[in-house]
Amino acid sequence: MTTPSSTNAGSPTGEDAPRKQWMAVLAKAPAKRVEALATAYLEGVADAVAPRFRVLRRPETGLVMVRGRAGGTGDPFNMGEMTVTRCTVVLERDGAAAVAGHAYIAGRDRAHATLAAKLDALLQTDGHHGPLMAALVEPLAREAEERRAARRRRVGATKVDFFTLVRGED
Amino acid sequence: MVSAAMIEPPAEGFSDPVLDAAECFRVILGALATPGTPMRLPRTVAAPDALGPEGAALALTLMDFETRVWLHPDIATEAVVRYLAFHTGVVRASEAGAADFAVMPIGAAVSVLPTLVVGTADYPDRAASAILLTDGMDGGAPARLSGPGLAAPVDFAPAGATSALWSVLRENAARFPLGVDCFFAGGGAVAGLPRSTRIESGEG
Repeated sequence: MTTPSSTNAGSPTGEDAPRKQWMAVLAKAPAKRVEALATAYLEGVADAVAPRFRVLRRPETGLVMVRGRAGGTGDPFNMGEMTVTRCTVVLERDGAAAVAGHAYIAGRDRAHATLAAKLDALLQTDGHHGPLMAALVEPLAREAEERRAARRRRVGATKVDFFTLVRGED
Repeated sequence: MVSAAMIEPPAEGFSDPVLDAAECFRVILGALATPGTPMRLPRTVAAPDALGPEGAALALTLMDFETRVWLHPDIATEAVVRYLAFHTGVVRASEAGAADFAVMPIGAAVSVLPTLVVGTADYPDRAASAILLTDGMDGGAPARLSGPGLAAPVDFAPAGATSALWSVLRENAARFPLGVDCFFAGGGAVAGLPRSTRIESGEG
């Protein structure tokens, strides 16, 4: 059994924890769901406050070495490479500092990476944080939890406990 | 504020990192191959002030996470450090003598160049490269360059160059095949000065 050595094994901690949380939710949710919820949210935003973005790093796809530790505590080893697409956008704000939004997602969906980066920027602003958490991040987190629970049930139904019987050695 | 650390985003780099860097690399290669000849980069970038567009384009083209850069204190503003970290992932060297690239204003080169790594007899390619930031490619103390890549000698006088600088660069060239390769960047152009170039200046 291996688990990644990075902090994504459990819930993130520290002062960046909320941001890590929503970035993870946005990255792991199905692209179509993120897009549907984001479109619905942004359509509701008045034109006057419609966010303006510029791209700081176009979505680009590369490989990231995923490291693991045997049993979660052993020596680190390279488990394998995974395809990752990253993107960085900047949200321009009148009368306030610009905000950078980052996204790293598994796979090569550039639209998903771009959208997740934009949402990360918006989520850092006071005006959008609350509504976006309620309209987007929390529903997506709930859906992810439901998917995990469903999978646990499916797998749990066929769970087998292996144990060794004491054998008589004749 | 929602997030604890709200950081000012860095300036933009190349709009197409792969192709833009390749086009710049071709020109930089040409600049080293024809020493002392100012060349215009095909792409420039929105750079932090201390670095300038040409210095930034050189950095984005040449540096990556496997190289170490030393920044002169005048250059190492927070904007520059963040810019290079974001766009190149370059590692910062604590001292000039541990760097693959050293970036400095041309005025600081006299004291910095002698401290850079010059390579070893077995691996002369492990020498550092210096990026000298200047205001332009003329107006400084002139030097006459000759040697590989130059059919006829050329005069080169980047702004801020002094006879002391040429004397340091002559000593650098005297170590060939060891020695530092230099780029001059600023005023809309870049020029190369490899260690193989012979330098004559007014002071002889």
